[in-house]
Amino acid sequence: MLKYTVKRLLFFVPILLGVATVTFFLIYVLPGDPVLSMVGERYDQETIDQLRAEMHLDRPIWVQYGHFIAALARLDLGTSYVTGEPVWDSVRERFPYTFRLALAAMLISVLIGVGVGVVAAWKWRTPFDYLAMGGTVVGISMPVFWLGVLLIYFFSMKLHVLPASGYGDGSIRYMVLPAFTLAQASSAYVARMTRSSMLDVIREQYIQTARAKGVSEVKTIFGHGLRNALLPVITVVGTDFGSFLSGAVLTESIFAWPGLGRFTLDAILKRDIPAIQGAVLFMAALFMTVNLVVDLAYAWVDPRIKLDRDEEAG
Amino acid sequence: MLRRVASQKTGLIGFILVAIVLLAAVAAPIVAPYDPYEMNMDEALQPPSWSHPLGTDVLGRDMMSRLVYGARISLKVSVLSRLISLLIGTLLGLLAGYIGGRIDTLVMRLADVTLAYPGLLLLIAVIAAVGPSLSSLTIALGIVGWAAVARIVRAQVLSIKEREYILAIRALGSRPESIVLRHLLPNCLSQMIIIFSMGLGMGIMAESSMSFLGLGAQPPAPSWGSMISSGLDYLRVAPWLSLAPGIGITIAVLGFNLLGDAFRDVLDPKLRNL
Repeated sequence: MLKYTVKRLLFFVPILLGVATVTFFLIYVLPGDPVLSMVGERYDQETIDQLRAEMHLDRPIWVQYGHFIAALARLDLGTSYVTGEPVWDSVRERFPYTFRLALAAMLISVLIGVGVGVVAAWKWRTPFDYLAMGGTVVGISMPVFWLGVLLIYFFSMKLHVLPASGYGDGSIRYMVLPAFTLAQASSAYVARMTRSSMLDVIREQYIQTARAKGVSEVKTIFGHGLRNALLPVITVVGTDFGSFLSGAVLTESIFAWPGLGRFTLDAILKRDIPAIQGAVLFMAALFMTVNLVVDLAYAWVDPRIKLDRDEEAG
Repeated sequence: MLRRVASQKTGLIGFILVAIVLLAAVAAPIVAPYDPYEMNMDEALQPPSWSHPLGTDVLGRDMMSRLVYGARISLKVSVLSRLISLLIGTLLGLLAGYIGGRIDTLVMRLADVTLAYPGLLLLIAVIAAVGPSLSSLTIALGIVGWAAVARIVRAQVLSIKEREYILAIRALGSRPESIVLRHLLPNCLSQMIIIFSMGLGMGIMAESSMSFLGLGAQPPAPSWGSMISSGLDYLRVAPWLSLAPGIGITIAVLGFNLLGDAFRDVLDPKLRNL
């Protein structure tokens, strides 16, 4: 286990560095002048040159890259062109909002997904199963932002029961619609995963033993079946955290939720390059970290995984 | 093969949905009752009626016509970008798998980096750099999608390059180009069809998501995603503006997803967990 952990960690750092490098060069190699986009064309050449020098943009690209990576090591994501504040501070300030939303979405997708998945497996090949699986396919194919629009239309505009947008006073009422929107695709994946995992488990001998012993059906399904079927489900939920981060860009834009996704989008619309870079890097790093933790946790719980992966990597 | 795809129930549904979208895109000028760009302020924000089956938008443009033409944009972006992904991914996958060594390591680490970005984020970063337009979205979407293709093609090449018939051809003195083109590539074909068809739905979803955010199609282009976002301001008075294009996206994505799954099941059941 230690060897596997160390190995995964050793892979982690270069890939993170790679992500930082790609994010850096994307902005600087592709056409478009950051200074011009920042000040517009109305400034004189002197001001532009001065700004360019301030931002090290007059130096060769590899010197700029060196500055970028060195700053990154100190958790310095640069200064926003628009607000003049350190990007890291803004990211740190916005992240808790996105985290709250992602956590709520995760809870919803586990409750709906596991619930639907277990019953679909239990009632295998019955109308409920077909209906549920049909529903998950549609759920995966439906655009997140459209579901958001539908929810706003019905719950805010027609029924007037929930606020359509904003963070408000931070009460749970403001979180319901965005959280359900964000949870949509994930609930569908979790339901499918739970169902197929449960179907595998239900065929195991210990389930038949439990049934033969006369244990009640509900206790067999939930007590014996679900406990053993949950492992792959946990991985899906864990890795879906990443989809919550990018889904947050869409969800937060519809619901005017003041999180990192909204921050990224605002930065793009204002062409605030350090802010875009910082937010993208932060989310990618977070995504990678969550995946790493999920993989390690999984290998710790189920040693068979570690062997498979080792063979694959070696 | 198409018959076997259609013989599965879900494959058949997918086939029908895709056929509807294709028909709309190809026959748009015939199917659409009006010009999708033609404004008519006298008829702005009309609810669905016999003359305008899906109503009109704030500029009096017929929504049905815009929806039908929207299929063209979605399909064009999705198909072209998947082709770009397929081209780059196959090329690099073949190189990595066949040559191996340092090139393999380099390509695979680059793939790891590409896949380390969650969802749309890499795409968003690229578009942020080059500025939003449909053509840059198509190219960016194509480039971003290379990694998954390369991984699968490489794995396939690795699994066949040590087989006896390949070794035999090599021993006979066949040139590497000819081994790759005439023997390895054809063996990757079914995987390539699967990746291509399964990616089309994702491509449509990505196009509409980016256009919704204003990072794809620009007005007045009738893209489904941007139609939903411009309809948002009128959600209370004219909900059909945002609701109808979403149905278009769902039908297209659902169709391609079901069809892609069916292709995969017919061509290579082993890839079920893809």
